Amino acid sequence: MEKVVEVRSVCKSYGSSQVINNCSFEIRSGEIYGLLGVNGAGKTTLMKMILGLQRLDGGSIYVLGKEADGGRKYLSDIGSMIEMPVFYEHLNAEELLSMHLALMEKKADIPEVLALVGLGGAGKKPVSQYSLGMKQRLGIARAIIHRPRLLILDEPLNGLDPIAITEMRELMRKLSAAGISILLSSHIVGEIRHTADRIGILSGGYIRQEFAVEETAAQYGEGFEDYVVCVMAGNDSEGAALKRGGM
Amino acid sequence: MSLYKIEMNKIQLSAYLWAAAGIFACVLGIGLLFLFLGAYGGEEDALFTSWNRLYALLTAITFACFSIFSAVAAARVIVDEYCGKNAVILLTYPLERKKILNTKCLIVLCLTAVSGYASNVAVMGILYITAGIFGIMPEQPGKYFLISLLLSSALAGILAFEMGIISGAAGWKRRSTITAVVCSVILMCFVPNLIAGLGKHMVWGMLLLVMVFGLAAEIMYQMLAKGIERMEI
Repeated sequence: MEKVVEVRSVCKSYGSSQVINNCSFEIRSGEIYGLLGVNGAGKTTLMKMILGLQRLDGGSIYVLGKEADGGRKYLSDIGSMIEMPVFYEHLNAEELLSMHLALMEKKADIPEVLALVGLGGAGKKPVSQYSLGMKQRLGIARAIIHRPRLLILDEPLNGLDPIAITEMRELMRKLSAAGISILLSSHIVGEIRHTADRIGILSGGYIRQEFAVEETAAQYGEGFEDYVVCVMAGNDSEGAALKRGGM
Repeated sequence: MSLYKIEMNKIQLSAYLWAAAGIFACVLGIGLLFLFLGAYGGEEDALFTSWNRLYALLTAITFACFSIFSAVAAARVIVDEYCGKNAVILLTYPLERKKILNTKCLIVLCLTAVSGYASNVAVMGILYITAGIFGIMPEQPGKYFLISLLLSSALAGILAFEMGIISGAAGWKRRSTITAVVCSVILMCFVPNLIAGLGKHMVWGMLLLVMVFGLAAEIMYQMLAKGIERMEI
């Protein structure tokens, strides 16, 4: 299977604090990869490095076969939503998306994408009148409208109500089925469990464990979330004990 | 959609137009006051009885106002964009960072130079018509006055833009829009005095100032461009 993202021995420090330490993982074509870690684990930093927003202190990142540090052309094949989405509040959704498409040098059916994220009737409404959940949906619309091959979503379900969360999960599944690879981050196990195909647990600056959700959930049964939390906290042996207990 | 048009969509143009209109109204009010003071005031108001002196004074005031206007525009268009939350989305487009910055600088130039030029020329035009109607200016403008007016108004607009870039770059360095405005106020404390004293040598004097501050603005711009190119979010 084609590798869409390859993160190889990446390191990143802020002053004396090493946030990412020899971190490696890969994302395959069409899969949803969940990056799970506690607050401050370095999930957003990793995503920013893939997007070229942060420089690497060591290692390398390849996105769609191109090195992330060189050139910016690969960015037209990436859709992203990092942290809370921000917009020019005096513009409406249609204006914002058409501006985004022009900057990405792509074309798309704006009303169709707005309908897809549940903003069908709100295209002409100024963004300043949007609720938090609507802004989150618009952020996702902006990330997917130019038909990227890789979607990077940093805690995309924040601020959404339970119905919207279910809709967004379905949307991510649809996008993944259409061949789009998704890198999804969260600190909430349940959120990632029901969406991702594979999970990488970022702890101590590196991917401490990586597993396929279906298989591991079947192994651990109801103890799955406890196991994941143990690994997130850096307690692998307790996690392994849970495994034995669960079996 | 061109990059220029996209960047223009991001700003609220009406706010800048209202600000420019406000500056124009204030300078016009001051100009009319000076004009009538020159006509009906005492000997101490003789300063306002010459078109060259009146014009130099009003150009200095217009320049001062548009310097701050330019700094605010640079703070909003450049500093806010790169130091605020929009930077995350702005820098994930497959475009050269310098190209986006250049477009933003072009917007600041257009906003400042066009409105500064139009305001100064319009104020002087209205004053000339008013002086004609009331017959209150003893001296007729010289042969080259119109050319001098058009040229030095354009130079005042460009100079105000340069002040905006210097202030904007200073604001970006400190990641603060307030710094940008304060920087322009500091510059405004002495440059308009120089302009007001230029008198008959307005065009050449302004040209010299444009060159000197152009060099300073270029240095500041290079620092800004390099900083944005290396910037991490």
